[in-house]
Amino acid sequence: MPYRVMKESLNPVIDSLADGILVTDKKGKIMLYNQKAEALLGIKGKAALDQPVQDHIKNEVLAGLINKILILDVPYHTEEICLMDIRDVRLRVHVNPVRDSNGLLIGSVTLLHDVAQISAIDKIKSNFLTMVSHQLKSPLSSTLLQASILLNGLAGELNDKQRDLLQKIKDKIKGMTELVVDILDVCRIEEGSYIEQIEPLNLDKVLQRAIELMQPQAHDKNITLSVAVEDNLPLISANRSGIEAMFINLISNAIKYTPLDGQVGIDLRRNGQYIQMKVSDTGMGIEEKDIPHIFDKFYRERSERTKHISGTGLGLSIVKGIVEAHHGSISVESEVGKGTTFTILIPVR
Amino acid sequence: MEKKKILLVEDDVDFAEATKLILESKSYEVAVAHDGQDGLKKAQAEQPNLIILDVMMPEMDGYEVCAKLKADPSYKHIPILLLTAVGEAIPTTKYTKEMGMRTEADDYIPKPVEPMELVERVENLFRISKGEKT
Repeated sequence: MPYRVMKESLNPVIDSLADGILVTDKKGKIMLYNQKAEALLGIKGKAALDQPVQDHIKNEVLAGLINKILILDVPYHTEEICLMDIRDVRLRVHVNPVRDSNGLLIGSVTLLHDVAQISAIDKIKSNFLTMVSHQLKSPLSSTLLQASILLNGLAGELNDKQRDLLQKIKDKIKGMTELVVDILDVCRIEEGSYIEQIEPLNLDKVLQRAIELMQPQAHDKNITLSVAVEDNLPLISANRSGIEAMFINLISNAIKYTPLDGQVGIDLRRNGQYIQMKVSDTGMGIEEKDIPHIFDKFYRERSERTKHISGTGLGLSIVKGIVEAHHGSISVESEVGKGTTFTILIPVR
Repeated sequence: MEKKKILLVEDDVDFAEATKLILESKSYEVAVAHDGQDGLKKAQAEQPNLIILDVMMPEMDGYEVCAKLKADPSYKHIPILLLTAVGEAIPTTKYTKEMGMRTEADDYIPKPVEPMELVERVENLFRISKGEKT
């Protein structure tokens, strides 16, 4: 196709794109958009041409992002936001600056990618994962109990070799059970079910139950669990199983990464408009390079000092997901060889 | 001394068999029901001294069976130990709201279960219920 012809057919070409495209000048005035962008953003005809972007894009985040790119004027900049809700469609948005041949900023170009289909597929996958995990729970519970019975000698005495092998089987089943529990928690977070059943919650009571469940694990390593709870804590609106999973994950982590005879402390108090929960341990600590990643799914520190510790690598991502579902925040302080403290703030109202 | 009788209501056949084995090793007599409806029938037929109830059962789940038993004057004195599902917290509001009944079991034990812990919980419940009678 000769260049001239191609240039003339540019409009039909961009109108044929599967993604939306939106171009502004450097002042943020809309210069060009295709039919897909019209449909996605709800712009009517050519009415928006030469108008400021914020007047026609009814999504503050997107308009703000375009203006930010224009104002920042850095040599190269691209920004992507995932799953933005505009007019009931979920978009992945890419905003880039446009420069002339001298590198001067002359405007911005935005790509709008409809990800509704991807979200729908995601949902099917997540439902499938939930179903499989639920199906695994019963056989895992049964086999674990059967292994325990054999180990306890309730079906006859075992020799040392049999006992050793059986113990390994039991540990592996236990690991699988933990993985299933964690996967179900991740699914609950992704489905948003931790914000569905909200009830007024006495955190102290939920904590006591979590401690009760964790006590055997602490006892095995001769770790002292000390609990300090401020009197008359206000109730918070929260999801019971979410908060319980949050406590169990944090306490179980603290026990796992703390050597024998160590200490794990849990402190619950009011801090302004928040309930503050601190879980601290005298454990091995987290290396600085790992701190930015500890809340990522399946991230685990892989080193000589942690290789004997079992886990799914999902615990902290679950904790963070639950805390965020309750509009709270989580932070961590750690010193290698000394210990780690996680601090969670959850708003009272 | 007469053997104490425990009714185990559990739909998972393997889990029920394993649990029965544990309890029988401690000289308890064990009757097994494989669903909620059957559990209610056997509670009447067997007159157990204690009931272990699995929470996750099709049709009538453990909470509902528990609520029905606790609402009935002829059974409410029987201690109930609820077996909660792997990774599930205890909901406290579902049946209290929907059915206007209290579902308070006497104790809860989460799956996966350690045999000795189960035995301990059972013995503990017998101790408590004995204490209440005297």
